[in-house]
Amino acid sequence: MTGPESHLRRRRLILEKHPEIAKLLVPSKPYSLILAVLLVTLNLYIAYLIKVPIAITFRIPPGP
Amino acid sequence: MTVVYVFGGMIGHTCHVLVHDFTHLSGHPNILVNKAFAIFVNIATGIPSAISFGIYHSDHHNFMGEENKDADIPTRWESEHFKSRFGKFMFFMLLPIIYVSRPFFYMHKKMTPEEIVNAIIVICADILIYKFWGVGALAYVLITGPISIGAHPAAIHTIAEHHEFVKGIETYDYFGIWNFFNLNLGYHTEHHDFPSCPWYNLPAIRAAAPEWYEYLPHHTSYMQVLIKFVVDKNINLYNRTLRIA
Repeated sequence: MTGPESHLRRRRLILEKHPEIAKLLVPSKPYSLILAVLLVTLNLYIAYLIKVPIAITFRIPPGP
Repeated sequence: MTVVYVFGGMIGHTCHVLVHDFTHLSGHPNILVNKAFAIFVNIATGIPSAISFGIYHSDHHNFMGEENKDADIPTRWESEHFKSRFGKFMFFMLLPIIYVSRPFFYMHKKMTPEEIVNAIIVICADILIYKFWGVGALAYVLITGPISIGAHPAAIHTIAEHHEFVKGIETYDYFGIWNFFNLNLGYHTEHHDFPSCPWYNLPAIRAAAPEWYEYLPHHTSYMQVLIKFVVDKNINLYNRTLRIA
């Protein structure tokens, strides 16, 4: 296929018909920041719970 | 392993989606805050990737469908070698390796100072995790990243979004339960129309301009997408819209 990427054209046409959509494009709420803190804390907490000390020991069995 | 796959995979994938949003600068009005939070979220997945992802992902939007520029397009080598049903299944299973190696081999760019900062911070965090919590905790963090974009239901969106299940349609929405965990990533047409739109406003875009979206085909089940992708002989990695620049 040749030709420009379709989403660019759609963006222009949608904004011409619905200029109110421009307000939706600005990050006005802190949801992403809050979610970031929650998810990082949760994943690191699971890592903390999972911590398993791994000890590799080689033992030579005692002789007869 | 169940905990790692279920919880780590889901949390890891949502972390990747958050990084995706931050690299689109849609988490906060300030650019620096977005980049800082992208790196912060990257700590949870252990392998430095946030800033690099942002660089190559912006090419996916700006050069959509252009071979060797759009890192989302399978290479010809991949399309030839993962053509069979088993090959397509293995393509999905090996997605983490393929997505990392594709930009490296075909469209490698010089490392930026921000990528170096990203790597230093994440590696330091890994060292602290190992020092205070041991190798098990570090292994969990390092596994959650790759496992969440590979053989995991949350990662099926990478197949669903742009493979031409309907000829001539380049981008597909998905409506189903995974949009809750993937932060509305299923609103993919809306996302490509407005890449800077925060994830929580994507449904509002569809609602505001329904005449632009409701006629488009969409998916309702990721499992059906994966099964159709693997089983249907008419669908393979060549089923992508390519552009000649």
